[in-house]
Amino acid sequence: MTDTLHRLLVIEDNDGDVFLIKRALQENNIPAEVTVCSDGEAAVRTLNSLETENPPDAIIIDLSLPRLEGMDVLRKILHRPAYVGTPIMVFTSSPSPSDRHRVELLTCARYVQKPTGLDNFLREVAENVKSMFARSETRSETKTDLSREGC
Amino acid sequence: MLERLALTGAVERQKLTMAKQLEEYLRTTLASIGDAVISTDTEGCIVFVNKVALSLLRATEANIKGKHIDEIFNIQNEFTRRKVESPLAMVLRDGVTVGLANHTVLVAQDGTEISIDDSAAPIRSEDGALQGAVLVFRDITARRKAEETRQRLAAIVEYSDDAIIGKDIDGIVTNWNKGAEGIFGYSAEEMIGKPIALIAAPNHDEMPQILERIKRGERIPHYETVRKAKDGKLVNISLTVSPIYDEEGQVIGASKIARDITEQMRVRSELAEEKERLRVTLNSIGDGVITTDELGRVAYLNPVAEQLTGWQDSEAAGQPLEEVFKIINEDSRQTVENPATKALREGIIVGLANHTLLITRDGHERSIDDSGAPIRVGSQEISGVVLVFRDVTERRVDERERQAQAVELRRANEELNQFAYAVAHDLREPLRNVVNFSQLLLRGLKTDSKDDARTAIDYIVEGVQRMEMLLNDLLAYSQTGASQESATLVDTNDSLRQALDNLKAAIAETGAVIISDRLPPVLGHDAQMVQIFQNLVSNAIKYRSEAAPQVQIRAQMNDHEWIFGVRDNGIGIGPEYHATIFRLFKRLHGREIPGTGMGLAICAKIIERHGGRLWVSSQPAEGSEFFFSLPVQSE
Repeated sequence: MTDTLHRLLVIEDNDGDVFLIKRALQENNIPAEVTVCSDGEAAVRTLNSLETENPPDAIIIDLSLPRLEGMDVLRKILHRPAYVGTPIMVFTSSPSPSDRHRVELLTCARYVQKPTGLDNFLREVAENVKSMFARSETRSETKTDLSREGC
Repeated sequence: MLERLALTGAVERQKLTMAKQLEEYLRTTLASIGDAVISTDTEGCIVFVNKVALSLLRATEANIKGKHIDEIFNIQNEFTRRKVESPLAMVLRDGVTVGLANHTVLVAQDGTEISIDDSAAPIRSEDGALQGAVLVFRDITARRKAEETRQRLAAIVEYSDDAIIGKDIDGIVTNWNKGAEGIFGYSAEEMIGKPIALIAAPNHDEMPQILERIKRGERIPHYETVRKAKDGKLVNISLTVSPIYDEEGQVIGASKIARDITEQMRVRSELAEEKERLRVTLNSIGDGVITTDELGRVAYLNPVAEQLTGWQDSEAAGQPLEEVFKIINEDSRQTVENPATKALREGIIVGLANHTLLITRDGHERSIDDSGAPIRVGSQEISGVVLVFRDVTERRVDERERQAQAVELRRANEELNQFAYAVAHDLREPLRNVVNFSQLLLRGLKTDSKDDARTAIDYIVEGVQRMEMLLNDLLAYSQTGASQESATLVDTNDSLRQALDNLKAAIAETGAVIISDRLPPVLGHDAQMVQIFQNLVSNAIKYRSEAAPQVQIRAQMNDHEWIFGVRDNGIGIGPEYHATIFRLFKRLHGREIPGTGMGLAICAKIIERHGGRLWVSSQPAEGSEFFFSLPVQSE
């Protein structure tokens, strides 16, 4: 793992979870520049502005968001060339099989249910972010290849 | 002498003249009498034949004169058709007169057959010497025919099944045929000469009046009455009595034709009874009934039909059915074809039509069900149609209300499910924060327990975890049946295997032994089948007795259902709790056994959604067996 400062976009309205995501990175020594959007519309605006100069290396997104649902946010950005292949983690408290089904059918995102218990939560975040950043590096090295790796 | 001679000559001449005159006279007589006359000489050769004879023989004088009688007078017996010796031949042979013979047929020259009566007599000279014979015969064809006719009529009368009786003006029997013998039992010998009053029945003494009317020359046609037979039985008869006149037109008696109508009367009375029964039935049944004739005109309305249509039977009779029974479609409000009209036209039974409105005479509308069937007489021509209908206004309204209620119920249910889902889902978020940050706090504390803060945080975490468990189950419960996926054929052996896999830890921990029969496939949702087995097996292990848990799973077919059983050797359940354990959040035990009280409620809901039931058979300390039924999947 290089010490490159990765950019992580967190789209999450629960401040507690945002706090714990940052804590997980910190406790596991994962250097990252974290941008937070706390509703769906803000997320779309941010993604638009980052698109040209500074797209994030990975995205964590909750499904139930104020103003615009997580699924709708994903629909709006997934087809953009800048985000093709960007690793996305849908991180939600919903155990609903139909939500999981929809995410897996419509996006390339990995679906992770927020686990019970602090330790589980921190571990889940750290492991997923690590693997997403790793994929992001592979992707940077073969920038010309726009294939949707992992899809 | 000369004078004497002359005198004698004159006398002779006179005699001769007189003889000639006589001969002429006789010849003219013979020629003009109505009978045929032929005379022959002693040899039988024809000397004289009159015109009648020529006509009957179909011959001319020229072609028979001088011929032998046997050549031209060919006669046969009417019945045997054998040639009969002519009476003339017998006269010439025997010299006696031969009288009329009956039933002889003369075959004329041209083959024509003529019934004749014939007789023959000898012709003798003054000294008695045979000089020839004369044959006299006449055509009796007409008379024979009249006789036959009379005999035939007599036979008809005699052998008629109807009694044909003649009586005189005083009521004394003069004729009594076989029919009368059959009906009244008296023979002709017994009755002729006796008063007709012998067959009078008690309470039917109209005979004198009948006789009075006959005397006035009246005819009494088809009069129904009762007479008494010889054996005392009463006979229903239909009478026609006519006067008999003599040549001067005086009434001298009566002819009476009587027919036994006892059977007819019995059938008629049975018909009347049947009719009465039908009338009472039609009057008392709860449906409206209208019958029509073959042209579709109203013939009858029963009281219910009167009430429903607003027409009286008497007013409606003869009206076109469409006038009395106006119907339209409830939705299109277009006139619909009358089932009776269709039944009449096509000769078929027309079943109930739905959503039909009857427009009553005063313009009201009633929802009705109706049907029509053709009436056939002796399975032949359609003689009319019967229309049966009933007022379903109330039922229709009920139906609509029920439908509205069902829609409302579905909506409310849907809302409740969404609400439960939202609540369970949204409550989890803050709870996770509580757990996570309580645990974060705990990390900051020293590990040297005994700390009140640590104990407090433990309680917070425990409470929240329990809350989370409840919410998870509530969520599962609310989602049961919300599944949009259609049921598929599920191998329940796989479902059980999956459930046991999920319970691996608990099974290992308790050392539970799980035995299962081979289980049948059912129509359902795999995840839900797993859930059922998981909940039931989990309960079986959880509510264990001192002994190691033993769980036995079996299935058997019972009357179109599979009955699954999950039996344990656990602590058992008192009968007083058998109904309540299936309710939401119902728990029989405290904290010592963990659980949310939703497992069985979820199972019950899933099973009911699949058309089955869930129940328990158990006694305290004797273990429990939970049963659930699922419909057998037909191919």
